[in-house]
Amino acid sequence: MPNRIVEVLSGGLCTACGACVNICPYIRNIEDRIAIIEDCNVEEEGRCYYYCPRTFLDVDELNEFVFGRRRSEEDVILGCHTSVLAARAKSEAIRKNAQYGGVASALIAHAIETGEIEAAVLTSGGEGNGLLPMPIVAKSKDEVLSCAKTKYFMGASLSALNKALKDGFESLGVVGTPCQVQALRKMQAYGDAVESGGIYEEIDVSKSIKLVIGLFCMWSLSYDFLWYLSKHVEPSAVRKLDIPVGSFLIFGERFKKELPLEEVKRYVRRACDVCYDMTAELADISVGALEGVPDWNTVILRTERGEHIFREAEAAGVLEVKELEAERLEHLRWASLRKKAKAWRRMRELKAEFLKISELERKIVERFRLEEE
Amino acid sequence: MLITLDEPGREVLLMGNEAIARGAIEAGVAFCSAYPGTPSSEILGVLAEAAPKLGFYAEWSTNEIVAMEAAAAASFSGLRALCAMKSQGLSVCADFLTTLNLSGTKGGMVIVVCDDPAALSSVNEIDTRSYAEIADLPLLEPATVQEAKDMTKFAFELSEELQEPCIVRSVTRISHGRGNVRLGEINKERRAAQLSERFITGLAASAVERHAGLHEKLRVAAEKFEGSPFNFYYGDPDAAFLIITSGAGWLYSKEALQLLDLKEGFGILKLGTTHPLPRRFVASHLEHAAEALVIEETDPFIERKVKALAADLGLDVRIYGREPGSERAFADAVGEMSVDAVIEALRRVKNVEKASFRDAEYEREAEEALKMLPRREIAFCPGCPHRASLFAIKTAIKLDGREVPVCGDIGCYTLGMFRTGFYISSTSHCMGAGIGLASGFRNLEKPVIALAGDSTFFHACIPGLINARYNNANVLFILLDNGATAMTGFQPHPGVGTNAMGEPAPVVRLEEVCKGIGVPVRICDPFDVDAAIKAVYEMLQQDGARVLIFRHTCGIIETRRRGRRKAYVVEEKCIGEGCGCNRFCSRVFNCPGIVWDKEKGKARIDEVVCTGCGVCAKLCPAGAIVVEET
Repeated sequence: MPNRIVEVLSGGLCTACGACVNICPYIRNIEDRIAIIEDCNVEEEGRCYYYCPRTFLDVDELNEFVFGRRRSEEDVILGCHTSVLAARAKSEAIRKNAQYGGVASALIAHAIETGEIEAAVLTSGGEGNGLLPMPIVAKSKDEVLSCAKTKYFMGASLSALNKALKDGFESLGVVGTPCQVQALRKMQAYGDAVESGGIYEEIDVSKSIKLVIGLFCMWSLSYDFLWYLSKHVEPSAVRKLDIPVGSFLIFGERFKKELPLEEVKRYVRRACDVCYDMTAELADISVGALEGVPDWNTVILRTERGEHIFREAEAAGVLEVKELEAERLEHLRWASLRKKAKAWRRMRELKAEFLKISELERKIVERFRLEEE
Repeated sequence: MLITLDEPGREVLLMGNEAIARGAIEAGVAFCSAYPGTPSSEILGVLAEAAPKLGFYAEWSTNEIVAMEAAAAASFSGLRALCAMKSQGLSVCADFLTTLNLSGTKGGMVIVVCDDPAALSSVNEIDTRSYAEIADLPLLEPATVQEAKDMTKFAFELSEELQEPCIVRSVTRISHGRGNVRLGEINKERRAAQLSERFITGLAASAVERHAGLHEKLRVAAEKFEGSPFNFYYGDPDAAFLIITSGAGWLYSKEALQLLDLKEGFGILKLGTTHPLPRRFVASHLEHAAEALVIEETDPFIERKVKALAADLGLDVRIYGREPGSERAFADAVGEMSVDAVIEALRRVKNVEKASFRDAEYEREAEEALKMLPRREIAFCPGCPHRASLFAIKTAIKLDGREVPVCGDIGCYTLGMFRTGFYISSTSHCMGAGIGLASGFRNLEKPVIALAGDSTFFHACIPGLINARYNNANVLFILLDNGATAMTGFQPHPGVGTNAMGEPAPVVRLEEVCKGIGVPVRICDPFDVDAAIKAVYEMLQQDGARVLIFRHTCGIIETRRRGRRKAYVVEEKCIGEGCGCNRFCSRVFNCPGIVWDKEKGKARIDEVVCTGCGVCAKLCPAGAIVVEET
């Protein structure tokens, strides 16, 4: 087994995105754990290396692949995009069940109903309490809606994408965290870097993924958090978690409880410390919270494909759209840049060298870091 | 069946173990018990088959000590009783054996122990003859299949006369060898069971008194052995060079002398009653010898006795054997004897020429013949649920991330220590040792997995599990329930619903026993690989003693029941050596039912051995293996 993927795992850099799961029998996953069961004995670097967002991440190369261009100074902070706006699902039913404005659910459901995609790889709340992520391939609106709400744990959802591709799906949507979107774009960009014949002759990863929705993400929690949570509430009674500024909220059917955010943060996955991407910069469309407005989303439209699908959904009356106030946009940019600066520092401390960015981009991040410090 | 033929004088070809069973039938055995173990299992197997026909009783007992206690009870009530076991079984019985000798017995009681020199199918090559010395009980060693029958019958008579159990010690090559046996009369006498005496051991002075009485009985036995036809002399009557041998060594020695054409000056003293030693008979032949070579398996048991005898009598004879550290040892006391080993011993101590029959032509042909043998590594059978179970355990441990030790146990899954079992076992000892060891690893401060099969669980694991529960050990006890005592030949056990004689029997359920002990129990089918991995992983996260039952019928039994299912590889889908597989099925999962087709660069199902169990189809990353539904 080539060593780079082993280093990602042993170095605590694994995001548990799931891109390396279900592509071979040697790498397996449970919860947010990925493990190599046996040495595959393949001499060259294989799919796991090319797919993993933590073996190497060449930002400009991937931008060229997704957007057809390198990043300009303008694109560094929020990634390439065409517009940033506020939106929400028109359907009250969708919003009621959603984390915020229900845009991701509404867009995916609409894309399936209009035939833009045949199914979508999503993360459901799994069995039991809905807190724990469970990847699924949703083929109907009902299945899509069952995946609403943020999961604060990683669920290796791209494992389901790998399986769906082998099962012959040719037109898929994916909703994922920034690291998952990075992996997904690597799958598309480098999918033909490894030739192995057999079933892979029938799979074209670059063409089979038709819509990529990225979710804003600050970090995710390790499964140890469940143990901490169970000291405060019965985990099965929890219906929703949220992190409005400075606090961690737990909602049950009949209760709302606040936990100190600093304590919760102890359970953040260490792999998140080196994450450089808050807004899923390689997605077609990125969706996140609109701080202080619980039933709206911030939306970043990035690709032509993203613009098309979003505007089509807007025209069909699925979405309600409004402008994003300038100060909110400024706050979003500040938060994104701050995450980059923190990650950059941590990467240096750990001597993690997977990220390749342009000199221009490095300078912007460094300057911000110095200013903050 | 041959062993029930009522035709005295007829010669039939029998396996050694069948001959032992026939000996018991000729002695009028009324009660037989055993726990299966290679190379002893056929003894009770054939007796149980004969039992309903001849009107005696036979049972597979839960373990050897229970088998011995049950047989002793039959003896106490005046009946002739036999219990059979493999070598390690006698160690299980040691506690009872060394009190049974003090209480004595009534009806003839024979303990048959089949040793396994060279550990061909055992975890050690223990020589159980020393137990005869420890327990002060008479010991007989058959050297031929005929003797296996005759000695067993005689052992009942001797036992009844001494009122002590008598041990018949066989070895693999006698038990599994075949030979002509002249049948004797079947004793059809049926005694009524009656308990009219007490069988107790006493304490202090009375136990010591009984011990002395036992020695007196041994003197009676030794006197009888002096004239026993099981001890005889062969060769030059005044030979200066003597081979002293017992058991399988007798025919090896005889053949070696014949091959080397050593007649004059050479003789063989063949002993069948090796404890107590017939001292006068042995001394009468030591007297004419200047040198003696002791050929026996495995310990220097006879060698020590003969050396002691020669010293007692002040005889001037050089005695060669295998006593570790002895200046006159021709080899170390390990492994089996053979004709070659005897010839080599003669070459070393007597400088005889290396056997001439092994010329260059012989060596060349032997080498050619060896090439014709397919190279096979020791492996689980195709369709074996243990392969899937151990794969799931290994995977779950990797996912857990801690280096969780796995304590192996005795059964087919002992192969967990080899490649076929993914080298999963950290320990492997005797029946029930896995759970006992696991409950003692508490200072590692992490969970420990113990393995046991269903039959092994009933045999030896219950006190260990109770200990783990009582002392709150962090142990995940995984029971590999394949519904059989598979390794020894599918003998029924308390969990399967039939008894040795094929009658329906109550079922003792593993899960009920475990729940009764108070540990949480989860049941899972190891062929549902993903669920099995998840079950192990989740249970590793728990604390205390807990049990996971991996339940799937032994592949051989399942195939016998439902036939083979056809499986094949869809070559277009098979990734072969490419990234994404690299021969996972044939290289790592390593089922003998899958072979690698080098020319095509694809996996192929070996239809001759594949059972169609379908586990590989679930694991194939390309979905390239298809199992046809029947």
